[in-house]
Amino acid sequence: MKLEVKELCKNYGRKEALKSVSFSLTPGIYGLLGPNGAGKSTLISILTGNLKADSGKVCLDGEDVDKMGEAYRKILGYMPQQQALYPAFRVRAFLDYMAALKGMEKKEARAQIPAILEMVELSEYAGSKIKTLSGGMKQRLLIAQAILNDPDIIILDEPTAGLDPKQRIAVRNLISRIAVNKIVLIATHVVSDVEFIAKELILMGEGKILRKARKDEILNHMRSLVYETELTEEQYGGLPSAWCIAGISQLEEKLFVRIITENPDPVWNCKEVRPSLEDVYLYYFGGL
Amino acid sequence: MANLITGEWKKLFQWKFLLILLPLVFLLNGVLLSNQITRDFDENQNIDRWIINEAEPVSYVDFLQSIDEQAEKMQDAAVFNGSYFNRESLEKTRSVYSRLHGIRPETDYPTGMRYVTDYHMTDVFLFLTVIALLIRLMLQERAEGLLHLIKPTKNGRGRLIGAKYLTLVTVVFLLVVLFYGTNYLVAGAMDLLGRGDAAIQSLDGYMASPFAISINTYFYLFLLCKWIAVTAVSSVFFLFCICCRNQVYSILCIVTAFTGELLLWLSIEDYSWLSPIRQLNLAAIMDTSHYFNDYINFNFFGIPVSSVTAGLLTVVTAVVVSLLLSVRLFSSEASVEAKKNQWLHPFNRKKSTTKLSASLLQGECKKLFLMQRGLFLLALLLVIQVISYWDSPFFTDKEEAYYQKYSQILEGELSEEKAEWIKTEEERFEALSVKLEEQYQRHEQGEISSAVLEYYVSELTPEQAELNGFKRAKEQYQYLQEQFVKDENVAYLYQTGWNQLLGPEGRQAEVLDFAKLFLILLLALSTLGTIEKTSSVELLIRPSAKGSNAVNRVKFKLCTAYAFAAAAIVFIWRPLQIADYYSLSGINYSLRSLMIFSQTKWPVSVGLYLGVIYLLKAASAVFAGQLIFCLSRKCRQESTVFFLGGIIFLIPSAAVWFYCGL
Repeated sequence: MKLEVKELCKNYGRKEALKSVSFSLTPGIYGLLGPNGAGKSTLISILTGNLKADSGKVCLDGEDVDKMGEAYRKILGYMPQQQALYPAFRVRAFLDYMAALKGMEKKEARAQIPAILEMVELSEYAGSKIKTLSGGMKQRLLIAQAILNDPDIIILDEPTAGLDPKQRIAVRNLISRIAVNKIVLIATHVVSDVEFIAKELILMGEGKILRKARKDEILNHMRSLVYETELTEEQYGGLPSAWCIAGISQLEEKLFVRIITENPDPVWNCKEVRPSLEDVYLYYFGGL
Repeated sequence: MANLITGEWKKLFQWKFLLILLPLVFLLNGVLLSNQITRDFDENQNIDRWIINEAEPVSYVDFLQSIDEQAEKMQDAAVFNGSYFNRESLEKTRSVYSRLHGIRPETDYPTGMRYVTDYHMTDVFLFLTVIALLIRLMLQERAEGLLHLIKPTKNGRGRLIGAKYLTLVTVVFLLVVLFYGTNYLVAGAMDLLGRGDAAIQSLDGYMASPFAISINTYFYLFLLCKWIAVTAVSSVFFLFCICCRNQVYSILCIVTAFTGELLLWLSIEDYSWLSPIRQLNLAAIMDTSHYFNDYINFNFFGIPVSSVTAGLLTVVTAVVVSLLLSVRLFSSEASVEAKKNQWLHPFNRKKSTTKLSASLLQGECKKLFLMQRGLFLLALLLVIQVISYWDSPFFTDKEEAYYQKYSQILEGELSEEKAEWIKTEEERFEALSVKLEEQYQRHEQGEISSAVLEYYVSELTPEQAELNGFKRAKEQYQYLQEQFVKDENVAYLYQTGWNQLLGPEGRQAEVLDFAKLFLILLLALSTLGTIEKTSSVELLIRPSAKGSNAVNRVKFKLCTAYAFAAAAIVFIWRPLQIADYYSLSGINYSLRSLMIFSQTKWPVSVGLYLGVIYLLKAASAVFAGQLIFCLSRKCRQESTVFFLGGIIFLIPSAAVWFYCGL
């Protein structure tokens, strides 16, 4: 199975939201990283059919998804960034309705819904009205509806927004479990969402794909760009402004500063360190 | 506060439809007014004379004199002396009119200003626009979930509500000026406005005005009073929006409350013991011109209170109470919600059913009937119709009773026997007349006394009502006999019930039924399309396997079924009521048996025609439902759909209702 995005362009008036975006996805988890306004949601809206591109196309196994229509949507699971729910519906009734929308058979839905609720830890709230759920529960419900029909392509837009650390880990683990032989695209600007589970990262900024590669490749590229040094407060004030400060920690009167720079100055006694994905994010999107 | 008010104005006028539709609404109001004026003058056949010359039978001086004289007579009468109210009321009236000596109203004054201020369709337009704006101002943010963001801010409670209220007040001012300004321009363009400095008493129907003001001053004061009145009424609606918190309930409360007030205003007499309810009334203050064209004191626990005072009291009470309650309710809403949940908690148990159906139809039914209160609205419609048609409004006078009696004899196919019977009956009346004539002659000749003559007169003179009833039946029968010699299916039928059902007598009731139907359809279906947008669930529906098309197909079918059900509830009662009172018979006979259709070329039976009519009514309901659904799919907001739907369905209904009532 291969999902290809070919030369997608989208403008909102004069603003170019997508500039000739192209990439392809095979089964596995992909992290779509980028700051706010990078074009992630626009790209996802086009992939899910909520928006039409100005030019370019999306193909699944060589076939245009627009022409595939229902056949494409049948294997698609989508979780939007907005909490798109009917407040007056009960949890089970909402999943029931989504099952009907996804064209599931009644028997299949009857079997799947309790299992899905169990997976997202909402079994206890199956009879509750959605408006009584907390924000995190609503997120989990949205994830549940996205995977309800066991889709081959799962698109999650900010899946961990509003979740506490334990829930975030739970969601990550859940995604890893269900991602076997599926294309899972997770759009996020929270690096830790995809750090451990993504097979490849797609870095997106200003409507363009900046980089698409495996995590280790991207991190390799960052070698000799990330340093740490030990400074006093007075010395810290004199750091070159062109350097990107990735982190500061204080121990007694010493400051341990993590820096991203292409030109380390030996004056500052910088020690090269292993880069992390946060460093990658800052490097590409931190204005360096 | 000024910033908050500016913010509210911006939010209101960011609603693009308002900027497009409002001018159209003003234009429509102007067109309808000019059409009304033209029709009135054509009917009076005064096409070339634009001035209605209703020269007062009495001069103004004589009119004032008559008030004094009448007051003196009443004061001399014993029955008035015992009553404080009567004495004081008379004194007040005299005192008010005594100030008007010296005023010289013009004769032959044009009636244009009356059209400007008394055209009730403008009130309907104003009413609808205010409701649409209130929904936008008060309910849109709640529907979009923005209140969670706004209310926790420093100015997010009392000041916010104050700003919204002041925005409403200023917008109402703008609307009043624009609507009545349009009326003024139309009347001016048709050359119906006379000299502005003429006394208000020059205006037709305003002779009894207690004010010494000019026509121009009257117009400005009218605008001011109208603004105050609409503000007061809007204040109450403002409170309803805060209490009800959703569009359906808010509009229902508004319509119910105002309809109740209107019924009280229209049905209670000025001098009834219930007159305080009539005067301390929202509908009374909306009928603003009545404060200017007459002076009335009503009995308020024995104290004469003028209608103007009553109006002021109503305004102050409405504004103060509504505003205070609105601020209090809005500010303490969270605790109200918590208390409500405490109350409802025993009833809000989690449903543990494992029944699943994975059906789109079930999901959409749930949305329409439960979430959008569709079921509640149908039940309410049923209750309204049962109450409306519970009591029969019909009245059978003597003539009608005789006509009915003769119709029972003649009912059915035409025959020689029946024709003979009519002749016999005619001869009977003639014989009576001859006998009576004989008695008159005997009396003239002195053979019988006056008392005996009186006796014969009472015995031999048939009641006029009986004669008229017979005449009506006879003419109908003879007409049918002459016109439809060869048509075997034409029969004599008792007409009154059929006239009520199918003729002009029942048109106003029909229009009112249609208006109720359209209002319910508007309330239930206006959110059928917008709900997916406001809840963002359209983001899930579009990429799903079934997609938006499948959902819309289900909604389309539901819409049709709902409209059909609503139509059945609305239209079933009138024929039942009429049939119960008049008994509608002869549905198998030709439609030409009914006098109102005697010239028709359709060779159909009465029953078939009735079937077609009711099918058309059902079809129009379905069409209306579909149109509302389409509007709700195209527009992003409920307020827009309601406003548009109101213009398409409710305004024409109101216009036709007024026209039928004339």
